[in-house]
Amino acid sequence: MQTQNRIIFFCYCFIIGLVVAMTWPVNPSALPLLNVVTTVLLLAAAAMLFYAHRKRDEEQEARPSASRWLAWLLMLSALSLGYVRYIGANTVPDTQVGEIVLVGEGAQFRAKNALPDTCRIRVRKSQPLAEDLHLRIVGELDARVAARDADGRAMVDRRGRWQFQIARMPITTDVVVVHSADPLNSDYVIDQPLTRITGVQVLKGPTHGAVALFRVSNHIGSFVRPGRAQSPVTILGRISADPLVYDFKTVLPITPEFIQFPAGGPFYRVEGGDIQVTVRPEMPGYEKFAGTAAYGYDVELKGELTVARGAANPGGFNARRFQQNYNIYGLMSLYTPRNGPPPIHAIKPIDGPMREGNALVSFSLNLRDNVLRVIKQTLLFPQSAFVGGVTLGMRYGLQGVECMFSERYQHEWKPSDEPTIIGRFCEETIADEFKESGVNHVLAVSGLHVTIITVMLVGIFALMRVPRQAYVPAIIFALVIFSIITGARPSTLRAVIMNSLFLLTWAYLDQNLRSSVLLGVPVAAFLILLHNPLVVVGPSFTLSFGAILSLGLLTTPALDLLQRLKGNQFTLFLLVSIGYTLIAIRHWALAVTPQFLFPTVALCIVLFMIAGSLQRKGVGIPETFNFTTIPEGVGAFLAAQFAIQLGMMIPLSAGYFVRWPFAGAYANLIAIPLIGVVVQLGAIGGLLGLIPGIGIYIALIIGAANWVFSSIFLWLAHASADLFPYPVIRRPGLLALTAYYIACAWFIWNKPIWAWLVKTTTAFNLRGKWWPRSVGIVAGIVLAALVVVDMRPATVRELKMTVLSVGYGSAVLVESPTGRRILIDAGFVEHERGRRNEASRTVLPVLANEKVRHLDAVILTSPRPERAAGISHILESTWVDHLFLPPSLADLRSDETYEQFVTRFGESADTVESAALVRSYEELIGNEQWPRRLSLANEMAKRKSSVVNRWAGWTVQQSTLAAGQVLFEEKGPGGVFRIEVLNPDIAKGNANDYDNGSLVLRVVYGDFAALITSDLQYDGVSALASRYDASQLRSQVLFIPHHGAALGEMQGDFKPTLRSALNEELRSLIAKVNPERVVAEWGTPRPVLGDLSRDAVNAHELARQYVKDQLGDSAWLSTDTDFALTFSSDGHTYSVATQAEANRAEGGVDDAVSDIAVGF
Amino acid sequence: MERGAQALIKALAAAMIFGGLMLIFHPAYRGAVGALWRGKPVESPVWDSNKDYYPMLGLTPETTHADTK
Repeated sequence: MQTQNRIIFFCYCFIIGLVVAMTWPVNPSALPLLNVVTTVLLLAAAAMLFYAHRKRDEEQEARPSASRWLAWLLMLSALSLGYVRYIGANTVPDTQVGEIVLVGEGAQFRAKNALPDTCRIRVRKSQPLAEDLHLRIVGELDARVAARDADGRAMVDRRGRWQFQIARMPITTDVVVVHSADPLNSDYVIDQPLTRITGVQVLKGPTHGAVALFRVSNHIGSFVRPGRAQSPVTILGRISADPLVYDFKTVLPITPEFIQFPAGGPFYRVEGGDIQVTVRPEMPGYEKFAGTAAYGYDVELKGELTVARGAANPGGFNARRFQQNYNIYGLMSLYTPRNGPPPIHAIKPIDGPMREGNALVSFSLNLRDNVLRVIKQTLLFPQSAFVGGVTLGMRYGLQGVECMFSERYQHEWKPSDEPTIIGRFCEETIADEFKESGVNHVLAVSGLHVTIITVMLVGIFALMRVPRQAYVPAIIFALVIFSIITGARPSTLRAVIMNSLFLLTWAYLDQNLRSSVLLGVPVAAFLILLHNPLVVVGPSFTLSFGAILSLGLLTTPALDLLQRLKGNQFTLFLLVSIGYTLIAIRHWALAVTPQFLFPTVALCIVLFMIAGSLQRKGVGIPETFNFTTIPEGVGAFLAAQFAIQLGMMIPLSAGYFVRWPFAGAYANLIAIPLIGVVVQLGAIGGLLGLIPGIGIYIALIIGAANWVFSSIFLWLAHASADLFPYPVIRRPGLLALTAYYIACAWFIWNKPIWAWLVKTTTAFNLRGKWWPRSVGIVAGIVLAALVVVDMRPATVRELKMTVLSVGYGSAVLVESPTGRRILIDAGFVEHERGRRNEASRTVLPVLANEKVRHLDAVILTSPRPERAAGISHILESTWVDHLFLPPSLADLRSDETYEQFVTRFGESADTVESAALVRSYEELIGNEQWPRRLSLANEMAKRKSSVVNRWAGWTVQQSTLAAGQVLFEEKGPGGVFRIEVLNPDIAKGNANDYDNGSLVLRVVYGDFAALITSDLQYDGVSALASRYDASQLRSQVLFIPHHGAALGEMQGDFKPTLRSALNEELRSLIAKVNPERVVAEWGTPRPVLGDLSRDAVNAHELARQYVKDQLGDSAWLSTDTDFALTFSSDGHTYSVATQAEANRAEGGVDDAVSDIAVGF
Repeated sequence: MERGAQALIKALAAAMIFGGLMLIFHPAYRGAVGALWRGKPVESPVWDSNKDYYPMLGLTPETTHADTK
């Protein structure tokens, strides 16, 4: 037991050390020293442990001081190990190779470490210099040239050694200039590779000083370049994991071994990091890579090596960081050139057959494929995709799969005379429904699945009467295979480690579940984080451990609390729960609004007190009606679900996804037992189907039964997603989360905490029950206040305009110094393949991240779908006081026909054919083929003024705007804030033009102004410029009209006409506005414009070049390269910050990445 | 945990009975049984419904779903 406690203690200290490293990291150059300290501490702890064990063996008691020493050494060594492990994985120490010391007229090169291989060099200014230093490095290069076969392909032997010829050549680098004015520790990278440094030539420089030479690590991360149009590189490597096969692409995880950088240069040996390579079906030889057989192949590939994008918006998903946490540092997307060989080849060794990967992994993946074949033969689609996902972890097969109620699944055996309305019953994908219903966790193979498999296997072996000591190793082996099959994510590994520990202690030490959980959680966390400390904040890790800790710690106190409710109070509890759920389903906004919640909570407290009082008088429901009436197993299950919601779902869902699946609290009551059936039948049927002959028939019977259970599960997810809201929740900060978990800790350990409070207050001579109660109440109020303070939006004392990066679309959040929050435009919604909903995935999360749940206004400037499509999603989830529209959208009705809609813009449905108009109609009014889709008209109908809506503050006033109107004219610290409307001018008769009727807004605060020109075409721009004089238009920031891609009626060879428009019409506007910055809200227009996107891209390019020629390169800001733009103004001056700069400040591609120092 | 073995047997037996009924009453599964019995699994409606699900995975490791049409 003592050993177990020491192991648990060590593991938790390791985790604390890791968290300390995240919070207070040191400079990575201190890592070598820290490694030494850690090693000494670990050795000392091991020695003390050995001493303690020897004393025990000799049946002597170790001295108490020795035990104390051991405890301290364990703690310090674990803290130190966790700290250095994280620092070593997260950052990279430079390796100094030498120093150039300036002595008089010359210089000396003092070598410190030899270069281990060909690499690039970085010169670092380590001392101040009196003047600029011009120098060259002299050395030699052993240039690797790949040996090639008759087909021109690189060659590898059966041991995986790539074949090269080495050409040795002397190298003198280009001149490096170290500027005296540059700050200390400035770096200058020499791109020319060197294998040995032999000397240095100083061409010009001071007589004293020194610069240091560092090697740039050959980690693959040092070769990536962001963006497109990079010089292609050639990589020799190996497919090191199972290819991820989608229906429209395959992603290959590749460990690069050599890289030719740049094109035509020598090959460098890669020193760490993996890449992901995407190949597409149109590539010749695609089928060779789109399957498990490709695992282990040696490959040669050529393409642009780039990197995943960082966050595009504040609080957005940082894909680059996420991938780096899994050791992926580069991306390649391969395209087959029109004339040329395929960009990737599988290379057969010169002296043997195609190499395969690790034998165990290959076996596991082949087994998985065979089981999937059985599933495809025995389960109808889409239930097969669901079973494949939950049993084998193949959730990529569920991407884009529509809900099973989609009419796409009407089988021929069920003819229908009715016209097919695809979206009659279902709009969403299965994956979306799973998220909204809170059962998404079944697709992340974790403790639930692993436990199901464990229980099933234990049951099978028990039936065969095999003793547990014999079968436990076999089960552990099977779990290892299972984790490989399902992708070995942290959640799976955690479960496999814990289950294995439990099985071992249960089989060989006869221990029970509880004690093994106490040991298993920290040991599993330790092993996973030792291997990869960067996953500590990843959702897979935290949600998995959050769930198990919630189950372990919160279930018992939850059960205790529920069991205290008896008779009247228990009945009241049931009625309140059901009642609140029904209200929340019917009107979520009402359920969470303070003016409803506070009186309701107060009423409930009073009713509980009355119920208790009546109970004591023997009036009402007998006490025998209570929680224990429910069967014990069911009661424990309910308490466990309550624990998971409290400990994991509510706080972590809000933190990671800014949403809370309300349905999960109910859906999981059925989903969790049901998934046990589905997974077991899927596993048993899949394995039995491998038996030759009769196996497939047995599997078909089991599959048919499983089809029913799977259908019930899919129906449950669909119904739950349909019925329950999926609200956006403000993202809690660290303060709120800490306060929340302190409150949870109080709930778990209330008895010992109460005892401590009593003891402490007594020690201060504060006797009596009310003193500890008062302290408790004050602490509770403080915690609640911390949560409230942390969850409020930040007070903005300046004008802050955030232009969100929403691709080809527009969404601008304006926060005024007078406390107003206004959203201008709502982004695009794509319903087809990509299903990108910028309102849900970008705008709402940004609002949640900024803790904004109420908007004073939403202004739609144009009916175009890239601005207007997201509005219904915003209205569904956010309190909005006022909706402003252009005049062309006045009085929208949900029963308006398309023919009536187009007449708003002076068009006729017979003569106009515009995809944009059709999309505008669908998003603003409705869609016959997809009747369940949100639309503005339908959402506004739900927000009309009713008693309930007024109580919830859920009404929206709607009005149109026109030139001459001013919104929100208020005085702030730096001047007057207002939004001026400059277009359309009703008198000029352009109000109903689709584009030139757009709202043009001028956002003003003091001396600062930003002009938003929405979707004006260039003739509209010209009209705007002629209507106003310069003083009315002058703005530091100009949003280029129509995303810079205005084409109007131009067709064919439009470039001359467009140039003319730019030179005349846009120029006239720029002359009057006189902007310092021009903003383009830009992204790939294909989802919006389809076949017109190529012309739009060309037009945008011309506009971009024109603006840069007129105003300079620095004037141009674009949301596709700079990402989200934040303009801040105090009314006098302004500044602009871009999300791209913020990403670079966190550590972008300019940082050299070296090898991992610790070496685990 | 070992006591769950009996429950597992019962659950599996129930699933087999239930699945057997499905084979009788569900047209697609009836078709699947027939196709397997004829030795032509590619004609199974169940297999056909999965043509877009991991299409690179055919009935054998050497084939794709499209190869088996």
